[in-house]
Amino acid sequence: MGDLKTQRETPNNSKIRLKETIHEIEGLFVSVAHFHFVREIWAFLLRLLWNFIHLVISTSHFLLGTANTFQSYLISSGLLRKYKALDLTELQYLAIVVDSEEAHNTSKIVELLHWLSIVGVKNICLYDMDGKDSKANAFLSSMILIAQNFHIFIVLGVLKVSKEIILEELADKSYEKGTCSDQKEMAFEFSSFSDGKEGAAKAANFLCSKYLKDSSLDGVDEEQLFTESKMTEALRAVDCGGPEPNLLLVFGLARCHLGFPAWRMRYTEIVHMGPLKAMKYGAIVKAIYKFTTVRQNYGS
Amino acid sequence: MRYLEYHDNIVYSERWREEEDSGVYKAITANRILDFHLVDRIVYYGKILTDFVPTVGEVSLAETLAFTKAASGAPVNVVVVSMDWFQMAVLQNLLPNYFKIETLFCIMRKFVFSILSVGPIPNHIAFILDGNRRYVQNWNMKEGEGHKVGFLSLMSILNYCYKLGIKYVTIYAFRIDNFNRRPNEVQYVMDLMQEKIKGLFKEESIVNIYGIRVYLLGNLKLLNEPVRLVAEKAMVVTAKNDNVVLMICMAYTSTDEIVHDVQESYNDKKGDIRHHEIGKELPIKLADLEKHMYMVVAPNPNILVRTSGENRLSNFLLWQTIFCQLYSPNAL
Repeated sequence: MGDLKTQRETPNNSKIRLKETIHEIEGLFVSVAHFHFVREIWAFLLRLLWNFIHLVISTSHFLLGTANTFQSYLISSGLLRKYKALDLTELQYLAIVVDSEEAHNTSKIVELLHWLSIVGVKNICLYDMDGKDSKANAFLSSMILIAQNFHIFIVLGVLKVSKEIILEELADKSYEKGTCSDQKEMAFEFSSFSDGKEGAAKAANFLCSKYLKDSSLDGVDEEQLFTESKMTEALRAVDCGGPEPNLLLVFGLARCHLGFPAWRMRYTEIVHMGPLKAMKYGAIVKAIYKFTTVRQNYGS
Repeated sequence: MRYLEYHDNIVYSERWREEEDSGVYKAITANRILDFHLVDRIVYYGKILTDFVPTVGEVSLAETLAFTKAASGAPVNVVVVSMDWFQMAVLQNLLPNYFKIETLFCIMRKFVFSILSVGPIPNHIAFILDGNRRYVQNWNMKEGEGHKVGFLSLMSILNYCYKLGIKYVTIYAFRIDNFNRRPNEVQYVMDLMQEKIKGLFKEESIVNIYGIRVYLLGNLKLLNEPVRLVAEKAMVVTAKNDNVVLMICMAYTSTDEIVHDVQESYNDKKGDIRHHEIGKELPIKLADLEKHMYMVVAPNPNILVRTSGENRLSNFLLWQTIFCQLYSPNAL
């Protein structure tokens, strides 16, 4: 009985002993590494291993990509039944974010919109980030206004600049393919970075100047003015408001939302679709299908 | 029999070593049984009455220093386990540390981290801690235990992050929308947070090991008094640390942050706004808005991880994640 007692240790003691052991082993390595040569070899070995892991991950991504492409071809051909009839009641507003460099490729954008019209999406917002490309601004001179119910935005953003071209080509395409009636019911919105952060700054100015005007009347509490609903109104007043999209599809190399207006993106599902030039109809259908299976409880 | 409940949980989750309130479980964990298959070898379990009790209450048998006589006795949970000599040695800590699996894991982890350090390491990672309640449902645990288990995972993740050399870590602990949950659930989470933040003040806590500076960001006015005091104290106590930074977002939503931002900018620039003339440049610029964000203490996050596989931001860091990689693993 006494033997057992001396051999049992408290948890703290054993933790300390464990740490000491690890320090000893590390000390061994450190003493060896004092030789510069050994350190060089060690660094080289680590780099080699890193590149190896990078290769493994790239290969697995490639294989996954091939599998996804195969699946999207299956979906496009209509073999998989569950993707045939999509329930679009939840999807009231769809947003698409495109990488600015790829946004110059208007034919691809038109094709994408055409696919979405086939799927049956009614309201679409197209977003791309920057608008400082002077080459794109040359499109301004050849604009033709197609329909009267489109807002005219401040010209920034590659997509905004080529908006009319896109809409015209889309109209042509759907006339060709005979889906004209569907396309007429769709509503488009084009936005860019100026609606995001800078839009928020404009709304802030609007709200503050409004407060100053109101506070000349008595009894308007500061707390009451700076609320979320007032901010929403202010955004709408400076033309940067809009409905919140339910689903956001990101076409680009990186899986980030590239500055889509923050106020509208609260509960939006974000799905990364890969580069625009590699987009597939089946992938879009799959993304929308996945969206319909998602249940949100909005935090409560 | 209470032990049987924990029997199931031991098989499922080996991380439950820290906080349990069953005498048997504490006795076994105090001896650090790592191989949870051991519980399959239970030969018998039951209760015996003894004539002695520990002098200090509320400690496990393993930690008790002395016993004293007690006439009517105290019930002791007893489990009879059959094991081979190797497991016996592990149980009694007779094995030298070299043979322990933990040492091996530790060394392997350091090796993997040194490989990862060759490539670019993110500067700032943000985590959305999601899926606690779903985890509880999946594993049939008691309600509310999900948050405790989540906290343990969080601690290990923080350890790994700081060991890897990531300077800023942000976690999304509590949303303003979550106040809409049932009141006792909200109270439970608040109490848990208060307890855990208090735990950060202890000497052996992770804060002192890594020299963490803790920020608690959000609309702290919405929290009740004791939690807010603890939060402010945490920020003050850790203000002198400058190694790494941990930002805990409590009562935070991005929209609320933007509104607060506008309000602060207004207070800042009252004079300019008053004297603003139409047609001239607007007084509040984007740079002013950026200055007053809660998250101005850290650069924009490089990676945002949302546990539980959902693909939304749920009103978290909408302003700061322009170029941030979003990652949603399916793990809960």
